[in-house]
Amino acid sequence: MSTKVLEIEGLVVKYGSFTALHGVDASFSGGALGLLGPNGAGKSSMLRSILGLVAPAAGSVRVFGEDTKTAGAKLRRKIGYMPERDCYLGGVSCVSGLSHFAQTCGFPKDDAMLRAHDVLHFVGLGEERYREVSTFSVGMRQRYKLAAALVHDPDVLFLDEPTNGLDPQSRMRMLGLVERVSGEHGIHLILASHLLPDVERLCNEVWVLDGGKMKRTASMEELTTAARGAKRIRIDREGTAEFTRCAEAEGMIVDLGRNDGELVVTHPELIVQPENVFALARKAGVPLLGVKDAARSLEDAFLEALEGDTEAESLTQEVK
Amino acid sequence: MAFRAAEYERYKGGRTNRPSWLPIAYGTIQRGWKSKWVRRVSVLSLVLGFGLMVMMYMVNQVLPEWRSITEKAAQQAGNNPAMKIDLKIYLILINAFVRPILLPLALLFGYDLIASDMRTNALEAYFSRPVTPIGYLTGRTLAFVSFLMLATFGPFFLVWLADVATAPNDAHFQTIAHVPFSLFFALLLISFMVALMVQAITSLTKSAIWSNLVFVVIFLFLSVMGVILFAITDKSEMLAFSLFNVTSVVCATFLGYDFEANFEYDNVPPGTAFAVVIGISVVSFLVTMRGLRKRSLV
Repeated sequence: MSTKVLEIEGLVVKYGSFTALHGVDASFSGGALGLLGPNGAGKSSMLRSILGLVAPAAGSVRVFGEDTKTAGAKLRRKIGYMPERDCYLGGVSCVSGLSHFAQTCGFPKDDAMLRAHDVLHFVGLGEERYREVSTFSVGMRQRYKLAAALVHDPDVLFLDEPTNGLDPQSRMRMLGLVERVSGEHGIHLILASHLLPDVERLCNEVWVLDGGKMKRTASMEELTTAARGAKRIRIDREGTAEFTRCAEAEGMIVDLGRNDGELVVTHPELIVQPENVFALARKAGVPLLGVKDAARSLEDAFLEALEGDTEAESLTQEVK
Repeated sequence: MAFRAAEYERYKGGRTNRPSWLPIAYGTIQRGWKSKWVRRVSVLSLVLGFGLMVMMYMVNQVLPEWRSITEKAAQQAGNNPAMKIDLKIYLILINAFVRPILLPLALLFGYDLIASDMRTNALEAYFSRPVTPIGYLTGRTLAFVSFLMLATFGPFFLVWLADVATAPNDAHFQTIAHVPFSLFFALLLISFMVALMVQAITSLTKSAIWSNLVFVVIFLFLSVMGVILFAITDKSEMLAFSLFNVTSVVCATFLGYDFEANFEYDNVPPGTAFAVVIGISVVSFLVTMRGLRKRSLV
């Protein structure tokens, strides 16, 4: 039986009277996991409790099958953590700081210095390695934090909002670096972000958190292909009613899409083909502006996970 | 392992099992030595000790009876009829080294150690690695104490070597033979107290300036207050507020100096002095650990 990278059972995290996580249960077998949720959902609290930086009020967390409460220090050799906020040693050069961090993870002194040079070159800070981190720009600091998380060659990498504050070019560069580390070197990735395209690009599994509760756990494929067989079409807004009437006459179901003039056409039993849509448009006399498979984006899935629960909660409140 | 890897590489070398506080202590020493004023004060202290050693040797070469001549001169001057060049010289030197060397060095070295790590969130980086708060504090404190010992015990040891080399007779050597051990342990205890206290203050204030101010108030203001309270109440325990007096008494006790017979001034009782030093150390340790544990639970 292969050991799971992460297993969480009934995890409760409290800050004083505020409960950040309410009895979360989940497990992650490996690969790249995205922790999604709006601000304050509990993503950072979850990462910090896995690392042992925050004491769980209840429940347990196991990384590679070992409880973080009993094997915390040993496990942290295998974990690379890139926090959301700036985090560096003051008064020393970037490379010396990284070498020092590598030494605290058991690296011999010479190897630690070589490794610090290597990871700084990898993240593109090779020319800046003798500068102090306090003089770095936001983008450089983000890359420094990635280097700091990688310097002791972890088996699992925790990234907390790694693209925060980055311009589009730097963001793509950062995602590229993470993709290479995770894809080519077998380092498991746990990414907390509220930027859905980042998660969609890097992860193969997603946990959706909101208000400290686990709303959904699913593979990326499950989430984005749930509506396979349907078509997402764009037509002129004024022709929506006529097109819907014709489609329903053919036994199809038409839902409004998220964007203006967008419809999602499904059939309870059949796969909707493009020809079916063209025929319907001709019959309704409506110009067709676009047709594509209605595989949902991660954003749709994410919003559905959040909205579904909000609706359920409001229904429960109404019943009460 | 390739140098300047353009690509990420997995580390294939071995990892040591040394405790995590060791690189922290080493890093702290490097960080301290980088400070210009820490270097200056430490070197000045060692140079003072070396200077005294050379001076004693030179005087001994020119005037071998300088000890008895100095003692007679002091007695004839009437200032101190029982003047002897013995353990008391070391006590005088302790006051000369502890006040102008140990305290400024403690501030210069330690005022920003933990405060800086708290400001730059370096503690989060440490505690997300296999470093525990106790390991972190151990590394920092041992490096801190090593520096303080270098600048205080170092010069004493040089003076003691010169004293032994120029000893007029075996009796003098018998009198001072235990001095290195006694002073080592006395200064070690005081250095631990000072190092822990500075770190506790910085972990509370999180500011270099406030740390310095609080430290100065504790040493200077409370010392004056202790003397005033003693004058009012006539209870020598009140002198426990004066950390200068406390450190002198601790060193004198370790040296085996006879208080009743030799001290002209009132002092805090030795038991109280040790209780103050140990109490401050324990409280400082707990305060610092509380600050660190807030950022970690392991």
